[in-house]
Amino acid sequence: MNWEQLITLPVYQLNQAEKMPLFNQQLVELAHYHYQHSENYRDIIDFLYQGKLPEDEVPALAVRLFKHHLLKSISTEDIFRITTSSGTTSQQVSQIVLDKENALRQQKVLATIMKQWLGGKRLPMLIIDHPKVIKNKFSYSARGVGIQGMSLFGYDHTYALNEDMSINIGAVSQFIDKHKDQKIFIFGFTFIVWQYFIQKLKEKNTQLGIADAVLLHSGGWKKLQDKAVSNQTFKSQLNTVLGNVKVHNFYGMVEQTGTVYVECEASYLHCPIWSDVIIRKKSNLAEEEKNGIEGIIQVNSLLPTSYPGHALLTEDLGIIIGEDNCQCGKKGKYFQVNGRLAKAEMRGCSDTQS
Amino acid sequence: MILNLKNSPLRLLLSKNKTAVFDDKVTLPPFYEGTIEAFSQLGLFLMKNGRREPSIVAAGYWLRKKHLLTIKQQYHDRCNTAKGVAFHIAPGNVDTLFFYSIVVSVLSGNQTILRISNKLTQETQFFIELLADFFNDHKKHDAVYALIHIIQYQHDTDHGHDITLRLSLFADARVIWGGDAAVAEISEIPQKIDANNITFPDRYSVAVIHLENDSEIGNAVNQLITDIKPFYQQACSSPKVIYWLDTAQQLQEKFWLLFIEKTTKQLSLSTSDLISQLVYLQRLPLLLNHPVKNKLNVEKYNELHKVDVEFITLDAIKAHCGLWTLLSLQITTLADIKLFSHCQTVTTSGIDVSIIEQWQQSAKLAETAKRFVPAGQALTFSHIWDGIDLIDSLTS
Ligand SMILES: [Zn+2]
Repeated sequence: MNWEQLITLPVYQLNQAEKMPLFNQQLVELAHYHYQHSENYRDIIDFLYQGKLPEDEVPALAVRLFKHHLLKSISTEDIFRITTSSGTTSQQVSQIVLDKENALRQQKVLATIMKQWLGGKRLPMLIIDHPKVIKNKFSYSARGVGIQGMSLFGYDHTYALNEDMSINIGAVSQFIDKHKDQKIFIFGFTFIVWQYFIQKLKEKNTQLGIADAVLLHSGGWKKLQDKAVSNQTFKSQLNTVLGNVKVHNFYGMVEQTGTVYVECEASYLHCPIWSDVIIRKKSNLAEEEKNGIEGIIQVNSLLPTSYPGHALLTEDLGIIIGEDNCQCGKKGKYFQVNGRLAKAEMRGCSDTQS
Repeated sequence: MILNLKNSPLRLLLSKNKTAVFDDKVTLPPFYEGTIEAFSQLGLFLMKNGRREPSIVAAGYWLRKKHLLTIKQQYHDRCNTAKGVAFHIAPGNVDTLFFYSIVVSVLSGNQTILRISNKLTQETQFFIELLADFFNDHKKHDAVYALIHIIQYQHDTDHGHDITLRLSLFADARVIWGGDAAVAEISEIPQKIDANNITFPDRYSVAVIHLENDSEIGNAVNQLITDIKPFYQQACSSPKVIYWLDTAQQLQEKFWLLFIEKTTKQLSLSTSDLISQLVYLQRLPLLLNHPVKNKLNVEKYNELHKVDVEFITLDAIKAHCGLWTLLSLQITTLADIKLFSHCQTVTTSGIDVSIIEQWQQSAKLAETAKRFVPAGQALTFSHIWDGIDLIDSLTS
């Protein structure tokens, strides 16, 4: 795979006929690469597909597999970093093995995608979190990694929260005042932005009156759905409290860091050129051919070379809305995420604790 | 002693008349005539009114008078008094296990308080409604009804933890179902001095099948379905492994064809379960290729996956999540079977009783498998479970 060429492709400009033959060819090559280089991947494929990669599809690994096994396509000496997903103490975390090349590629692709939304210049950056969240160098938690990754696109990094999650209103006002004549970049995790920033400012009847900003947020709607907060509510309340802010949610996961799916002005998530989304039927996990039907999201990405994470079946529900014809003008597939699949019911003897 | 939990955030199921005040003086003699009478009547009631749930009918059948008296006879010279108060922690989704736990406890004469999951299946809710209906309509069994309490509370909150602690300190016996995690977590909570802690950690079960001719296939298939279908093969006593004892390949093929025919549209899984099944299948080669490569092959029969293996690993058993996966091994003699120490039930089909008895007595097996039953009876409850005599443990 020639990444020097791949990285130069326009992020959202190729239509289906231009993108998919190229993308699929690269993905198949990548699958063969992992088949050769990852013993575990080879064992799984040999077991489930009679000894060789199937010709008509690139099999997806269940994303949960990375919570149980350290899957890698590189030798142990070449491990540069192992990133982990966040998780509460009772949950197991995903472990993603990266070599230098893969880690660098993730950053590069992320930067190229972000440029589309933030512009080419670094912007003054307000982080809706507390500074301690990245201090622990040994644990690359998803929150820490996310903030560090995004920090590259900003300068004058200012944390909006104190360690107890209260607003550091002094720091926030000073930051806004200082950069009142330029566009600023705000970043945070969806729930934290809502709960500890927007809601708290609203309670205090504070309006920040920002003149020009882009806010990117991620991390999932689960907790907000529980509170029945829609994307529209989120955006309108945010604009009331903060001012003139363009809001973009994005979808991504630690298992495929780099290829994020950013929400456009029409409120749909867009596939960048280096990744693709497939919907699988809820009834049997077969590929859903039609758009507009909710199913399980599979994410395919060309980035993972150091671990076999190029095709992953998530546990998120989503709908592909269309391809090449979003009203925002971007080409490629656009979709929405409808939340997580309900947790599997345990019917065995081992569920006293529910 | 009286334990008053009236002001604690807990819910009493069964009857609105019950209050969360528990008196350890309220007990009955073990195998008290009135108890046997009440339960055998309840059995008839369940078989009649619970017809739409096979597991409830089976519970009713278990309560037939003759069966209860047979159990009584096994204890005629011991078990003279009830322990007192028995606190049970039951799994919510093995729909009927909570009930057997209550029955054995009440047969032993104990004041029985059973904590049930907050997420009840429809079957369990229906079962509890039937119990309430029966006792509310048969006031003459009030003395027995007075021993039965089913409660729900949020055990993972401070209040919930307090309730568990107070019940544990109040009870003379604590029965913990629900596997390793539940046993470890709840066992840490202190109990009354001299109280019994009766625990049921994770177990797995296996099936041994021997077929000699076509005529045996139908029964063997039916029995396997009976043993794995309830609770989506997730009950500890549902087999996860099939050992084919000296059985021709061609008979096995016919077995699976018939299995497909008999299970069409019966084993469908929810999306979450489909993903859990996929996760297990994708994990299997990684779990089975230790310490040496295993020769594996997977076949799909409706939703069920049969996985041929050369040997079994503990990891593959521990990760098994039910949902229709059977590990399959070919053996030429029973001595080829190697069981892990947490094996619970061995079901057998087509094998002579004397051969099984012989095998059972072999020293190695004695410390592993706890229970040998004919195929089709894997899920049939017994008052001796996992090698624990529940009646003995709940009386003195
Ligand atoms: Zn769009």
